[in-house]
Amino acid sequence: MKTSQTLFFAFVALLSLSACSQDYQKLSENQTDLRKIEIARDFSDRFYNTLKSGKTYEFSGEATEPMANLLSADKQKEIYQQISNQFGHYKSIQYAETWTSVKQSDTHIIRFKGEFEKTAKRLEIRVVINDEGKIAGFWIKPWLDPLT
Amino acid sequence: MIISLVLNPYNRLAGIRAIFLGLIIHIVLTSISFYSGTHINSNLFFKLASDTPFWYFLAEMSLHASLNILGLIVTGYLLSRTQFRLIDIIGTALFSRAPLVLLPAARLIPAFKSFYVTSPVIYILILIFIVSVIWSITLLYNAFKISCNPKSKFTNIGFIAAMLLSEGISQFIIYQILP
Repeated sequence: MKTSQTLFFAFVALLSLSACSQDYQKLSENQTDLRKIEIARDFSDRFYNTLKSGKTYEFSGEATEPMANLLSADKQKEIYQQISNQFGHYKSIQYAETWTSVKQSDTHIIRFKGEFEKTAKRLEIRVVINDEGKIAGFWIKPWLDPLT
Repeated sequence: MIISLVLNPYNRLAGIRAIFLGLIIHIVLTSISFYSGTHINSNLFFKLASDTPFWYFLAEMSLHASLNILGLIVTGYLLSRTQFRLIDIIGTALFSRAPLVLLPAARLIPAFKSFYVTSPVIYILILIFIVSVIWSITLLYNAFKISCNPKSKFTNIGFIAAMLLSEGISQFIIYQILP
């Protein structure tokens, strides 16, 4: 009886600790900003479809300047070549979830699952939208349920 | 009595009944793993990712289970001096995967589904995985001993070798051959 009580309290303590120690939190469906999700989805889909067609994506104010400079034409080609060699061509994108930083609650981390031709595994396409509604981060990586 | 039943139920469970229960466990384990996004395709590690369709979960878990069983059958033929029934080893080995349900079942709780990677939740999940794998391997070892009746001094080494070899082959197929 004593052991089971100790185990129970240890479990509750760990869960509480877990809640307190989160730097990021997942937003529930009614907390998400649909406008930001749409900006992120539209950008990601157009970006990968443009690269798939052999062209390069031209930014027109939807991303922050450092982000647009980072994704130069050569960098875009290099990234897509690596992805298509390993996973095949881009097929589609599906919204998964939104997270926010506890310190910067206006910045949203929007996670999508991207489908590619050669693999049954969905990849994570992650878009960070800042408080001005601009794209401030853009990644692609293997999907994991915990936010890494 | 209860501990002996939990770690070695095979004095009461064998044959068709074990196969039937083992198949049900395999289907339940695969389904819960799919719904919770928990890949248990190894006795050494797990992956938390809702990233593949149901058929992929079914393929990787069936492959891992089949290779474990095949490894035990081959080891049984090499080490046993008596005849044994394939139906017994297949059924009891499938049944021994039951404890693996613990981790995917825990992940049905929302707090264990989505969390930041540095959260202590991960330690609880690792602990559950370790307990479930130790329990499952103990059951598998008892299944092997009762079904194949090996009388060799190499029984333990044979069992470990079969586990490691099947683990290596299944991981190679899952990560290099499955799309």
